[in-house]
Amino acid sequence: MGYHEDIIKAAQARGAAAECWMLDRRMVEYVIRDGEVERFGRTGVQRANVSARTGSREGYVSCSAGTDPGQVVDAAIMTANTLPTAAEALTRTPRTEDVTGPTADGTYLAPEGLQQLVKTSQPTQDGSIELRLHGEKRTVILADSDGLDLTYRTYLAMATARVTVRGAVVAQLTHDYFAPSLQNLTHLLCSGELAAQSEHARLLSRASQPLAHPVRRVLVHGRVASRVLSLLCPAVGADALIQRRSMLANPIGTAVASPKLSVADDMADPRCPLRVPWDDEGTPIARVPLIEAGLLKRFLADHRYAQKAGTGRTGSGWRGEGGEMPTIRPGCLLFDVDSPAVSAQDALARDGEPVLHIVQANGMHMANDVTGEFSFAASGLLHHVDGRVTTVDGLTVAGNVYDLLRTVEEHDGNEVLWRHELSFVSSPGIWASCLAVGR
Amino acid sequence: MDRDGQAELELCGSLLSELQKSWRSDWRSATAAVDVGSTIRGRFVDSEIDDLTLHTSRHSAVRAVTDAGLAFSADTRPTSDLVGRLPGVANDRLPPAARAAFSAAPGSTGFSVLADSFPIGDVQQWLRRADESARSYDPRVQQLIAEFDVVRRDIWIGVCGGDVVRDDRSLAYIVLRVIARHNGKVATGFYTPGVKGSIDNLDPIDAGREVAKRAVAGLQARPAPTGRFPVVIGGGRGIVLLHEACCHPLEGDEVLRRSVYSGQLGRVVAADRVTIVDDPSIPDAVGSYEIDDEGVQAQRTVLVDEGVLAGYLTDRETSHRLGLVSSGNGRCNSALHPPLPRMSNTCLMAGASDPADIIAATELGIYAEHVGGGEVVEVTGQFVFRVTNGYLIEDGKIGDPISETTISGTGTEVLRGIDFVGNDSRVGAARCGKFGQWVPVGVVGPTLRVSSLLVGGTRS
Repeated sequence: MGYHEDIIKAAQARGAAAECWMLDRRMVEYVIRDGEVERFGRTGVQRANVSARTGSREGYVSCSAGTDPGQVVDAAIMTANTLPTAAEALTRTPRTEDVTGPTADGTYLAPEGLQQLVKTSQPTQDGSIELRLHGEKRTVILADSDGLDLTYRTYLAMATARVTVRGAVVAQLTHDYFAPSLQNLTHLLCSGELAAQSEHARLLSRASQPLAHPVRRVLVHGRVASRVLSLLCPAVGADALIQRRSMLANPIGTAVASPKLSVADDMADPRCPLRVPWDDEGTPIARVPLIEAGLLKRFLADHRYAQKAGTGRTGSGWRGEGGEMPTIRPGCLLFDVDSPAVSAQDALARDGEPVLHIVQANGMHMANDVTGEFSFAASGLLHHVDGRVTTVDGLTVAGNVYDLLRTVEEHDGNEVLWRHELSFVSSPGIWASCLAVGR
Repeated sequence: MDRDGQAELELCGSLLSELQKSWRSDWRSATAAVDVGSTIRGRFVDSEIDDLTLHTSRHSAVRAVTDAGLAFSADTRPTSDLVGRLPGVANDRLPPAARAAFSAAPGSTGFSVLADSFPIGDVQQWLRRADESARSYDPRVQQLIAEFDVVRRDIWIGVCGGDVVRDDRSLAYIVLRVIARHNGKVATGFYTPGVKGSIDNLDPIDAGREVAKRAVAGLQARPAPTGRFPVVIGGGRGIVLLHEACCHPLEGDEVLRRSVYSGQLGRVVAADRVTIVDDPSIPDAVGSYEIDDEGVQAQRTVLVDEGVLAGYLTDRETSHRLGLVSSGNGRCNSALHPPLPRMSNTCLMAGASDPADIIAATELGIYAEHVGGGEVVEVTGQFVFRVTNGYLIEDGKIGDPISETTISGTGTEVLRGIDFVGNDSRVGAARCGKFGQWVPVGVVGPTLRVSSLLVGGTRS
């Protein structure tokens, strides 16, 4: 008998209904720097996240799998008694699904792959690359007292690449990469992505030139744009709407963005590296359009807030890193601008004006996710009308993400994925006309 | 956890014994760790708890430092395979049956939940009082959102060749945000009260009033200017500036990566009025501990002594590679994560200036009364931090509030540019993230002024 069955049985013995969401997570981690594997580790996590319901109350406990089931259920019932009345019980059709994931072990890094990465991180005369690789295999079981018994397995690999180049100045450019397996990730890193990142770092290591005049044409690299746009993650949920902390709170159909901009949450999109069949409440994953051609379409909802808002669930009930009770967040927020891609060089040729390409941002995580106000330190490349490209460092960039939504007209076609807490955000580089650039 | 932690002591001892039996010639030190925690975590909004989860966990880990770096293995189950998963050990030592057992479904861990270890009623009461206090401060306060972590945690650490020691890591950390609205304008207040030990040691009335005050002040804010200004920074949480700008590059792993302070020991790096200390013994500060997460006795480390660079922050791995003795700063989020060199409580020693005199000496500048978080590029020392409540200083007086903004610069210009250090030291709490691991850190110090920093303005 599995541990989840022990939990359900213990709840039954206490006259309670239970749901058990179990996570078996196996992780490997490598830190590779200067041609050496500096750190290597393996971690195993088996957690059971239990909700017990008695009458109209529900309590949650997250524990290591194997903890005394009776005591876990007792603790959940104790919590239930201190919380306000819970949402009505989630009614799901009892079903048993074993959605077996990929058969190849996505956490396995073949010796030749490791050697390739070690070789990539060899220090050069003026630079170094540090790679922090993390691969994980997740097996999820969701079962309840009504006979629900679902399982899936998935893999995810991530790398943080920190490129340092010592030129006229020292430049460091850090970026996170994601793929469904460590093998895929190795291929991604070695097929040009790291080289492109290194090239940007090399350009930033040249002596910085002053930004003598204000620049009207500003292109925000996808690496920066995806971070700025991640400010919307907490604002697109029905909880934010009901709690009056979303600046998107408007009637459905209201124009909240440029007519060229569409935003959707879709973990099934090929841009999302993490494939799961249903959210942490068992609701199947589907594409949820949030903004279409600038018009507000809907908000994300989990079970609790779907009831409060009187809408349907959108497959957006996700647990936190520690297995916390499900709350609303996007799985993979996708920003699409409906216009032909315009690179910095294209704009320069077309408009005959200098272009500031912001390629690095520091401090974005401190922005205000209620008001949407942000300001960050930035570095960029200035494309002059005479064809020169100079480096500008020590910039500050300030703006508001809702102004950005309203004014985005063009993009550069270079999609970049970012992870904001546990949500993915994908955006191309965007042309912005509402930023205050200071130096 | 049993009441006296005997089971954890024995588990840590048995892991240590496994490590000793498996000792490899390339290991320089090896540690075993067990941590046990119960946490109340959730969110309070609309005057009631919106979500709440009780967490209970027991993690165990083994780690070995080699000349090349660190190998580690950790699990939520007390498995004897833990040592076997370290590189170079598994296939040599473990019998096939033991490896098969590892892949089997989990059995009982023998770990139990002590329901009375969760003081939910106390937490609920605290949040309600803070909420009432915030809402009664001003009718323009519309919402108080609190994210809370109330943690009871103990760790047991054993070092090969030594004993198993135990340390208490209990703390309460609350992130409070208030949303205020008036005539269509929205402003937020941000405050992070935290304390080592029980939530009873935090005053909910003060906390609620303080965060409401910050939000309401924001309603009158005018756009922040852009450009270089003298910046006066409030004490306590304001020391995040030094945490980001100056102290991250002093962490051993960053020193190994040639941070801006690598190879600078003994050199003048700051104004002579600047003394910065990492001190894990500050009473009630959230970054305090007696033993670090690698079993090294916590100690006060002078980082900058009257302007001279005096020390680095190291864990076992980086101290070995730098040829130093560990400063007792090996910290991790839990035993599931590998230790990294981290700050405990970053302290700027108090100076002689009255804070009012510092303001009076500033003709035109910014007063950063409260700050959010920050970020630094260690190799260059370039940093940025967020001013959540700021004011213009005009003619030596505090003037209008300004919108949230960012201040940036380099650590070296901050340290050399500190021209006033106040006499009003305060203790603040923050959380610091590094390579995906968050740990509580204290920020302790007085009001200070930096003669010139780049203020990032507000949207056009």
